[in-house]
Amino acid sequence: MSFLTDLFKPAFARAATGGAVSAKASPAARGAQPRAAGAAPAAPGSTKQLALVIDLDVCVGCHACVTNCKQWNTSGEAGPLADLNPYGAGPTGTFFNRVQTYEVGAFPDTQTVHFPKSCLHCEDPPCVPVCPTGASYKRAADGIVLVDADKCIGCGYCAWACPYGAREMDPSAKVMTKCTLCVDRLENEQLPQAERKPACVLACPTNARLFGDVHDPASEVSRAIAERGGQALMPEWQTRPANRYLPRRGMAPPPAQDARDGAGGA
Amino acid sequence: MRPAWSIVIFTTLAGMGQGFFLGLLGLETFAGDAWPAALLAPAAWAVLALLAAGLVASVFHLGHPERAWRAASQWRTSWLSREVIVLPALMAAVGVHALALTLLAQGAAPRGIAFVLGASAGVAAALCAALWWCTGMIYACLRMLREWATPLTPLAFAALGLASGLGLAAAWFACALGRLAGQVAHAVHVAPLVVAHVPVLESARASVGGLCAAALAATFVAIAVKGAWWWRREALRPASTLQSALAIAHPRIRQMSMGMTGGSFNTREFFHHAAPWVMSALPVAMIVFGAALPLVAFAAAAMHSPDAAGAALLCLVVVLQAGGVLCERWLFFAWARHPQNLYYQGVA
Repeated sequence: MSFLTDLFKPAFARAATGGAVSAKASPAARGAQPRAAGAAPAAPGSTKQLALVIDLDVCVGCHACVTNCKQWNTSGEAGPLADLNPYGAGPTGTFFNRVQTYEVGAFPDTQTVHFPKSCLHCEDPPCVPVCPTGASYKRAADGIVLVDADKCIGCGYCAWACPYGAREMDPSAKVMTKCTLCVDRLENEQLPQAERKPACVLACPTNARLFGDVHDPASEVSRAIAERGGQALMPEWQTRPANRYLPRRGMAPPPAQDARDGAGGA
Repeated sequence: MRPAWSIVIFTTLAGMGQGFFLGLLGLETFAGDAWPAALLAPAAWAVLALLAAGLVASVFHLGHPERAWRAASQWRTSWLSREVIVLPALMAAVGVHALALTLLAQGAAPRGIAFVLGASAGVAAALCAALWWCTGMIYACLRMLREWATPLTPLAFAALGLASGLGLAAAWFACALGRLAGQVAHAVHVAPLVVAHVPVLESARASVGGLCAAALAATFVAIAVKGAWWWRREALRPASTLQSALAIAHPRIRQMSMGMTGGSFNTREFFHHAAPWVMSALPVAMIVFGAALPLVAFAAAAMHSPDAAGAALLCLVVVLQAGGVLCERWLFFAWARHPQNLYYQGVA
C-alpha cells in the first residue's frame, strides 16, 4: 500500500513542505546544488543531468533559437510540427522553445528582459508520473524528459501537471510534444562532434545558451550556475528544474526560496 | 483552465450512473419484496447505458483513441490510469447484475443466481466508490492546480454524483410505480381473492419515498461539500508569482511579448476564454438547478408520495439537476488557475 501513501503525498502535502535550497547559499554551494543538497539523482545509477543554462544578460531576443529549434525538430524525428495558418492573420503552431519579452522596473529605470522558455527537464518532473500510458518518461542515462509519440494517446494530462506550460499538444499529430534537448543530435554520428548539441544552442549569436551536464561540477554549465547564481523557475513547486537562468547583473536576485515556500502550502 | 466538454459530460453522466446504481441497490436491499425483477432490470441497464455514454464522451478527449488500451498500464503512478481500469470493471459488474435481474424477470432462475446478484451488487458498489475516488484524485493530485488539490475534490465528485443519481433513481421508480400499480390491478382483477398484492404496492410507494429522502440527504451533503470547496477556493492566493516564474525579484514586471502571434496551445488550453456574463451566470445556474430546485422537489416528493403527474415533474427536476451538475463541472475547470498562465499576461 506504500504506493498509495506516496500518491497522497504529492497531492496534499508536498506543496507545503520545505526542502528547497536557499538562494542565499554561497555561490559555490549553489553550483554543486544537485549533490550538495543531498538531492536524489534523476534516476537510480544516473549522475548525469543534461540541461540548458540561459544567460538573461546577453539574450537579445532575436528568436534565432526558436527558428532553429523549429527547423530541426519539424524536419527530424519529432516532426513535422504543426504550422497552422502560417501566412494568415493568426499564425499558430507547435514550438518547443519560445522567447518572451518583459519590461522590468519603472520608467526611466527600466530594463528589457528577453526570456527564452522551454522544458526545464526537472529532476522531479510532475508530468511523468501522471501519464497513463508511460509515454512520458525521464531518460535514466542523461535526465532528458521525453515523450514517446507512438505511445501517447493525446489526453493532455501531462501538460496540466507541468506548472511551466512547457508542453504543447500538436494540433495535427494529436500527440504531446516538448523540448527533447535535440536527442537526435546529441548522439548523431552523421553530425560533426561540435554540432552534437541542441539546435537552439548552436543558433544563438550571443552565446546566451549554454548546454551540458549540471551534475558535473566541472562542466561549463555548473561553473556558470555557481559563478552567476543560476536560478530555478518556480522553486515553490519543488520540481527541481535542471535548466537554470543566469540573472541580469545589477538586478536584485529573487527573495530566498524558503520564504516563498511558506506561501506554497495547498 | 479550458473546460473540456468531453470530460464535463463524462464525469456528470458517469457520476449520475454511479448514484443511480447505489439507489437501485438500496431499493433491492430494503424493498426487494415489493419490486419485481422485471421492473428492477431496466434500471440496471439504464445505469450501464449512462456509464457507457460517459465512456464514449471521454474517448472524445483523446487525440489517439485507438491507443486508449495503453492507458491501463501505469496504474502504479497515475490516477487516470486507475480510472481507466475501474470504469470498465464497474461496467462489467453492473452488466452482470443487470443480466441476473433480467434472467430472474424472465422466470429463468439458474442455480446460484442469488449469489451472482449479491456478489455483483457488492463488487459494483465498491467500484462505484473507487471510481469516484479515482476521478476526483485525477484532479486533486495536481498540486500546482491549488483549486483542485484538496480531498474536497473527490468528495464533491462523489456527493454530486450521489445526489443526482439518487434523484434519477427516485424519478425512475416514481414512474415505475404506475406500471407496478397496473400490474397489481391486473392481478387483483384476475385473482380478486389474493389481497396480498395491495401491501406490496404500499411498500413500493414507501420505497420511492425513501429514495426521495435519500436524494434529499445527498443533496444536503453535496451542498455542504461543494460549499466548503468553493469557500476554500475563494480564500486561495496563488503560490506562484510573475517574480518566481521569471526568477526576477523586481516588483514591477510588465510583459511586452508572449512570443507568438496567433496564440498557442498555452493560450488556448489553460484559459477558459468565457465571456464575463457566462462566468457570473453559471454559478447562479449551478445553485438554482443543482441545489435549490432539487432540495425543494425532493423534500416535497419525500413528504407526499408522487402520483403520475408528480413523477413527471420529478423527471423534469432531475434533468434540470443534471444541468446544474454540468454547470458545476464546467466551473470546476474554468475556476482553476494554472501557474503557467503567469507567462501569458496578454490573455485575460
